[in-house]
Amino acid sequence: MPWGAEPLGRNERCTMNKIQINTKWCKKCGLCAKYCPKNVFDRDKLGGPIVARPEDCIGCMQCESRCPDFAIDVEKAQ
Amino acid sequence: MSFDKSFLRQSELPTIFCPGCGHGVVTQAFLRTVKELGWDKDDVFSVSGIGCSARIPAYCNTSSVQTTHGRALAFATGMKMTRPEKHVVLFLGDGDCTAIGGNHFLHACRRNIDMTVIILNNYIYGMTGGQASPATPHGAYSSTSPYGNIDEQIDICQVAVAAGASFVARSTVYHAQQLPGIMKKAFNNHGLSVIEVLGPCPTGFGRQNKFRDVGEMYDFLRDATVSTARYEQLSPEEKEQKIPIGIFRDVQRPEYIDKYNAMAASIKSRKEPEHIECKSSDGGQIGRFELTFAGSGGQGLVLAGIILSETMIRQGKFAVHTQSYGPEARGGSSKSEVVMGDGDIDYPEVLNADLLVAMTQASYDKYRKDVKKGGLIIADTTYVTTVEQEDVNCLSIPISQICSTDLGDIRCANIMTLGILAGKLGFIEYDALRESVLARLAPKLHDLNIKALEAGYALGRGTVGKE
Ligand SMILES: Cc1ncc(C[n+]2csc(CCOP(=O)(O)OP(=O)(O)O)c2C)c(N)n1
Ligand code: SF4
Ligand code: SF4
Ligand code: SF4
Repeated sequence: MPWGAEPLGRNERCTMNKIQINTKWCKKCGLCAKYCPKNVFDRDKLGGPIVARPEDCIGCMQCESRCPDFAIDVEKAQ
Repeated sequence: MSFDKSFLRQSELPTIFCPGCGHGVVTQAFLRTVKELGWDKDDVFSVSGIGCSARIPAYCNTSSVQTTHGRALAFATGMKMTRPEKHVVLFLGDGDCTAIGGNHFLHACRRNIDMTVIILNNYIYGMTGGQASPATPHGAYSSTSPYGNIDEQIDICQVAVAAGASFVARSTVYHAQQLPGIMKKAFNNHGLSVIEVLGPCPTGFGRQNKFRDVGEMYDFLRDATVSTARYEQLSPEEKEQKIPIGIFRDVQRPEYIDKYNAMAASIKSRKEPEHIECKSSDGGQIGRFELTFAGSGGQGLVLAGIILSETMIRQGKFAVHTQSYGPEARGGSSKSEVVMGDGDIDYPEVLNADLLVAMTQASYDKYRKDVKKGGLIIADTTYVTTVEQEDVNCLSIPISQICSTDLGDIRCANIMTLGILAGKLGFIEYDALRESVLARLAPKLHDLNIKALEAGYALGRGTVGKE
């Protein structure tokens, strides 16, 4: 089970939302980055998402709901 | 809330879908809804036909079935009728639903059976390489409309409303977060619910229609759609440019299974065969016993099948009767099959007959090969003149001739045959059979046919072990 894979980015602090990308399922379509209202993601050279600014995440879940490959997991900070 | 991945069949992932394909978005929305409703995953029947969209049930950790192209609704109707307590949800491509499966769709809407049909409308046949479907917009390019589509696009929701579906809605995969809300309403509707979800097929539709990437297709879904309320306020020219999304119909209409059950209850008040206590036989198990009556039209073989089935039911057994005729009413070929058993009969037709009653040479020649090894053939040698003994037992009796010479009426040969069966096979109760014959025949025919039945019974008993 690939969940719990390395979180990409600096989102260790538990006051922040935890955004994880499952690279085994992600197809690099770019939809998460395109529609994130807070510009949390950068894209790598192949188009895959990088969680670059997790501190800006407002937990709207748009990226997770719109990911066609179930590859994003947003865990809201308590 | 985070999406619960245990609702996915993870062994099947990643999906076969192209990057950005909307089918995965609908899958997630569906599984979120199942979880929010607190349904047991196994109680959800996810059913599809053929196409990329038809892969969705495979990714759902539900009771999933993929059927044949266009026919998912027929399969699903059968599932819902036999297991009405289950939740049946269909995933159909626009091609699957409106082209090859168009008639199934119309009549499922008309029946208003309690299921939900989710149509993944990506304007194209995705799986087979971008051919035009009935949902391809006018003017759009596809592999079968390289100069632009000259056909008009079907409006799936309006068709569903006109055909009688009680809940009809449209949304898009751009509006992913609104999908579970709509699905919940659809699933809670007691009747046929239709949700058309517009989505992108970047591979089959996008490339041929100058969308640079899948993101542009999601932008299109955001920009081209307006709520049904706003749509109503637009001028006719503006309406041309927009697609309304929202709920088009949400009404109560009599549901199909309810109507069916009400009808069944009213029929029960008619006389059912009375149960007769088994006396003579051991009342033992018969397993599955398959019997074929074959002959020509007019020999009463259908009636024989019905009477035998009713006899078994009187005895507390289970029986299914099926019949087939040639094109002619009288004189053509006729076949009547009875499958009997101790419990539910899953498949109604004869697969490997335990017993064949052949009343003509043609039917003997045709069906004798279907009798299982060690099975029995009863041949009416009035008509069956060439009997080839193989690895089956054969009982040759000139049944029709005996009826006409001894009883003066050839028409009771079918009833005499039933008597022979009762004499020959230990598990058919003579009294139950007699009751069934009397119940099915007009009183003026009783004397003759009971004589035939008695004579047949004696013949059947007398030949035990002597063939
Ligand atoms: C009887 C039959 N006819 C034709 C096909 C070929 N075929 C496979 S999928 C498909 C159409 C799929 O399009 P759609 O239903 O819109 O689903 P999508 O792939 O776009 O999700 C066709 C015509 C088939 N499998 N079976
Ligand atoms: S939306 Fe999903 S599949 Fe697409 S790039 Fe983002 S994580 Fe990957
Ligand atoms: S939850 Fe919303 S804000 Fe946070 S990364 Fe996803 S889309 Fe951006
Ligand atoms: S061909 Fe089209 S419908 Fe099929 S998976 Fe690819 S994008 Fe989806």
